[in-house]
Order: sequence, then structure tokens, then C-alpha cells
Amino acid sequence: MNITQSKEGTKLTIGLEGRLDTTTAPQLETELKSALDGVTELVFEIKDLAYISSAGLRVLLSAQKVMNKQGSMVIRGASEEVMEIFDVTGFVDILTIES
Amino acid sequence: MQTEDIFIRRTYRKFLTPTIMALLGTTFSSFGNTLLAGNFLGKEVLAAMNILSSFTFLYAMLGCLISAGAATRSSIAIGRQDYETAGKYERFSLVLSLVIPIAISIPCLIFFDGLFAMLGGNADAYRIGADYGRLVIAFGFLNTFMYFPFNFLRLIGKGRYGMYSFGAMGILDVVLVYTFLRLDMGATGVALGYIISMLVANAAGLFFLIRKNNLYKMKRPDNDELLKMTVSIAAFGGAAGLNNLCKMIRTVMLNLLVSKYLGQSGLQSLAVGCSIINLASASVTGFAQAVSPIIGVLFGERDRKGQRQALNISLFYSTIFHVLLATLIFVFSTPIVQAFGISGADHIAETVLLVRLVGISFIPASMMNIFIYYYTAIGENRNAMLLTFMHAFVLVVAFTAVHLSFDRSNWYGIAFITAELFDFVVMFIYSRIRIKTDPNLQGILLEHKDYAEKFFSTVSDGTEDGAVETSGRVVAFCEDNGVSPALCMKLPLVVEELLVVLARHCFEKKDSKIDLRISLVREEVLIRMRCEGATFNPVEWYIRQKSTLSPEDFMMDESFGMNVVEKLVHDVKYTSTFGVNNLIVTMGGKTAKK
Repeated sequence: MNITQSKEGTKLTIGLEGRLDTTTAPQLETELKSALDGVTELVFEIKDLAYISSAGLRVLLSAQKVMNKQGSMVIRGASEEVMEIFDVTGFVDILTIES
Repeated sequence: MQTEDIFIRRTYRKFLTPTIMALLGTTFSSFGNTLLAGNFLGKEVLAAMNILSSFTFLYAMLGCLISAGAATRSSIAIGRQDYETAGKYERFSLVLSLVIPIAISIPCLIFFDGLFAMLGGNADAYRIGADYGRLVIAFGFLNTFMYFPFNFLRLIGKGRYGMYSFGAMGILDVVLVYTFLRLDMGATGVALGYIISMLVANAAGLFFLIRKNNLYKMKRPDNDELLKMTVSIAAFGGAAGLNNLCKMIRTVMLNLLVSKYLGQSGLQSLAVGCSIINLASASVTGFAQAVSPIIGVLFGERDRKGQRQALNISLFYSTIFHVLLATLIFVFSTPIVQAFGISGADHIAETVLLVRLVGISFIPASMMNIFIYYYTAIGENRNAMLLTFMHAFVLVVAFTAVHLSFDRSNWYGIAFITAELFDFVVMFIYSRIRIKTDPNLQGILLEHKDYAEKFFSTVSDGTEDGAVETSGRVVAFCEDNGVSPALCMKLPLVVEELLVVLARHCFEKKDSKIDLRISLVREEVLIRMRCEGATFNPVEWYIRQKSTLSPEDFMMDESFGMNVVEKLVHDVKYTSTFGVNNLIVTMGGKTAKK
């Protein structure tokens, strides 16, 4: 999985490309641990994310919990398939998802 | 690179040794009894015991018919996760295994003298063997009952307990018979040794079966089910039971033919040959009996590829073993024959000839038995019974009769070989006829054409990395086979989640394997995963975690992966089959959840 980061002030945009699965989720988790310091607006661009498993969902949820305390988090560009996963797992009610 | 059939191969090997050792224990009893009786009581007793072996085959036939049939039916029920039906068949089999042989023993005892004469026994044989015969008949129900724990212990993956029980029986029997013969108890002592050892083995087998069955419970069938179950047992056990019935009748007919053309010395040689056949039946049928429940479960799961793999593995191991066995028999035939008390250079030479021909016949015989049990396991019972009837009785007797009418020597033993080879011709012809009557079947294996259109089979290495790698291969499989984009996303996801859960909870070692098979029929998906390691039910675990954790904690827990699976599939079922963890998942098609 490719993870790209771009920061504008306290806004951090993370792009995810590929698969967010059991083996790649720890990689994202590690990057987020250090990257979220001082961030008040977190955006995940996931239009190139083809696949997400429960491991990836847990990392997003973990990030959401952090951002609930220090700002906001938005997920953008989810594909139809990834959106369905968010939908059936109830994550649409927890995450802020923009088309 | 792991072969796709590694799970079937390992399960088969797990079944094979206990099956053969348990069978060997029972056949060693018979072999040892004949050997000891011949040595202590003289070769005259061999003819009497061979005549009375018809009764032994009768009770064995009942045992096979009832318990092999019920266990096969149960194995198919287990493959469909129908444990209630499996429990009902087990309970019914237990009752039938006691009631029917006892009901048959009573008239046999009443009319014993007439029956003995009808089977070809003369006054001398009656004098030697009558008491032995009456005891064998009176306690014949023990012979029938043996098959009950033997078959059902294998089904629940506890075949080694059958091996302990019936393997020990062989040793105990020989020890007791030797002791009783040393105490001058004669043929009665032989019968008593046999009966006591069977009683102990049956008690042990039943004890283990009741204590070790964690898969399902025995259940009393409803009265209105009894007739249907009896018919089903007879159908599925028909071939196995018919095998013993045919052996019984074959023994009678061969005794009559050989007695007529070759006299007493021919009968004595035949008794030795039959003892070798009986001893070797442990392996000649053992390889087939070991694979039968596996094929039954795979058939219940509609895993055509797995069925074929199981059959091929069994044929491979069996052929290698029986080539070795035939070679050993060939090399050591003279001391074997002498050990039975056969004396005189000519008599020994004639008997050696027969024994060698019999030994060679084990190679095609074991292969034919595997096909017979295969057809039984997939419900092609008529085919199985026809092949059994031909190879166990008709062809052997016919070829023997023809040979003896032209050549009065023990070369008639070649009939045991030609009968098996000719039965393959019968198998080919029958399959052609069967396909004409049901075009949905194909090939000599009579496989259903409407099984999976697309099939994926692999072995994951039981690690999280392996789970993800396997999921990636499932993506490729979906793309290569034009699966819809929606299913292309969900199917690999379900596979990853389940493989990860199994990897984390079943294995301490890194080299454990998870067998994965995916069948696609149009857009309906059947996923089957099997793994060894610790017994772990992910469905129960998920339900437990969901009910005990707060919603927030649950979403962060590893069991949340099962929640993802639950939302995407129609059904997830867990079983412990053959002592391994077994997951069956259905998804896609019209039954898919949204």
C-alpha cells in the first residue's frame, strides 16, 4: 500500500492507494502515531484504495478517536465497494464520509 | 510449494493407520486362531473351521451392513452440518447391531446340525468343530457389534481408539487361544478365546465412543423415521455387507468345488489360502474403508475435486503397499504354509502355489475395494453392490469352476486375480450405462456435472501474512473468472478475515496449514476452510466477544473481523470434522445479505 502525506498548517491530508489489510494496517498505524501531533483537521483521500479489511477499519476508528479530541476527520473519495464495507459495518455512522 | 491436496493427504494418513491396525486386530484373531488350531489340533480341524467361517462372515456381513451403512450416512449428514441426523443413525445402528444378530443366532442354534451338514461338514468335521460352531453362533452378536465402535470412532476423528481396542483384541485373542489350547480345551478353547477378546474390545470401543464424541450426541430417531433409516442404512451399507455375504457364500461354494475336485488336501490348502485372504482383508479393505468417510464428507460439501484427490491418494498408497505385501507373501510362502501345519512336499508345493496367486490378487482387489467404497460414499450404491457381488462371489466361483473342470490343480487360484481384473471391465460398462440414464453424470467416477462452474483450491500457511497473500490470490481468481466487482471485493475480504482468525487462534507453530476451497456456481459461493491445530470455534468466539464487550470496545477488538464476515455472507457454520476445525461459508447469489 502507498501512503502519501501532505500538510498545510494544522491540516493533514493522507492518501491511501492499494489495499488496507492485516499486513498493511500496522504501517498506517505507525505513520499516524507520529503524524497526528498538532493536527486539527485530518483528511483521508481514499479514491485509490481498492480494499479495506477489519484491520484497516480499526486503524481508521483509532484515528477518529484521536481526532475527536483534537479536531475533525473526514474520509473522501471512497469507492462503491469500500463504501459498502463502511455501510454494512456501521462505520458510516462513526466516520465522516464525503463523496 | 504446498500441494493443494495436502489436507486430504494428511487426513487420510491419520485415518489409515488406525483403520488398518483395527482391522488387522480383528483379522489377526481369525488368522491366529486358524494357525494355532492347525498346529495344536491337526490340519483336520482346518477344514471344520473353514466350513464354520461361513457363520463368522454372516455376522461380519451384518456388522458391515448396519454400521458401515449408518456411518456412511452419518458422514454425509456431517458434511451438510446435520448433526441431529448423524446422531440418530448412530443410535439406530447401536440397537440394530445387537438385536438383529441375536435374532439370527437363535434359529441357527436350533438348526445347527442340519446347517453344518448342508455346508459340507462330514461326521469327522462335526466331531471336531460342533462345540466351536455353537459358541461362535451364540456369541455372534459380538462379531456384528464390533463394527459399530470401529466405524463411528473413525467418523469423529478418534480412529486411534478403535485401533487400541481392536488391535489389542488380536493380541488378547492369540494369547487366550494359545493358553486354552495348552490347557487341552480343544476347539472350544479357540472359540472361548475369540469370544472373550471380542467382548473386551467391544466394551473398550463403546466406552471410547461415548466418552470421546464431542461432535454430536446420539439421538433416538422418531418411530416414523425408522423404516426410511433402515432402507438408507441398507442402501449405504449394502456394498460393505454384501462383501461379507458374498465371501460367506463364496467360501461355501469354493469348499464344495475344491472338495469335489481336489479332496481333503485341496480343502486344507484352500483353508490356508482363505486365512491369508482374511488376514490381508485388513489392508485390502482398510485403504478403502479409511477413505470412505472422507469422500462422504467431501461429497456432502459438493467438493468434486476433493473427492478425486482422495480417491487418487488412496489408490496410490494402496497399490504400493499391496505390491510389497504380495512380494513378501511370494518370498515367504513356504514357511507360511508350513506354519499352518501343512506337511508333505507335494501338499506344501500345491499350497504354496495357491498362496502366491492369492497374494498377487491383493493388488487389484484393494484397488477395486477403493472404487466400491468410493461409489458407496457418493450414493452410487447399485454400482457398488454390483461390483461387490461380481468380484467377491460370482467371478471367483465361476472362474474357479471353469478352471477346475479342465485342470485339477491349485492353479485355480488364478481365479482370484482374473475376477478382480474382470470387475474393472464391469465397472467401465456400468458407468457407461449409468451416464446414459443420467446425463448429469460424467466419467467413470460418475461425478455430477452441475457441481462448481469455477473452483479455487489452495493451502494457506497459517500466518497472517499467508492470509493476506491468499486473499490476493482470491482477487486474481475472481478477476480471471469474470466475477462481479461487488463479489470481487467481498470474497477476498471474507477469506482474509477468516484466515487471520484461524491463524491467530489455532496455531502455535508457523508451519501449520489451512486448506481453502472456493466453489462458484454462477454467483453463489461456497467457501470451505479446514485446519488442524487447537480446536477453535470462531463463530462461538465472535458471539461471545460481541455480547461481552461494549460496542466501542468490540469495534476495536480482533473479533470485529467476524462481524465484517457476518454482514457480507449468508451463513457461517463451524464443525469439528475428523478432529479438525472446519468452516463452511455461503455467500453471493440471491441468498446474499446486503
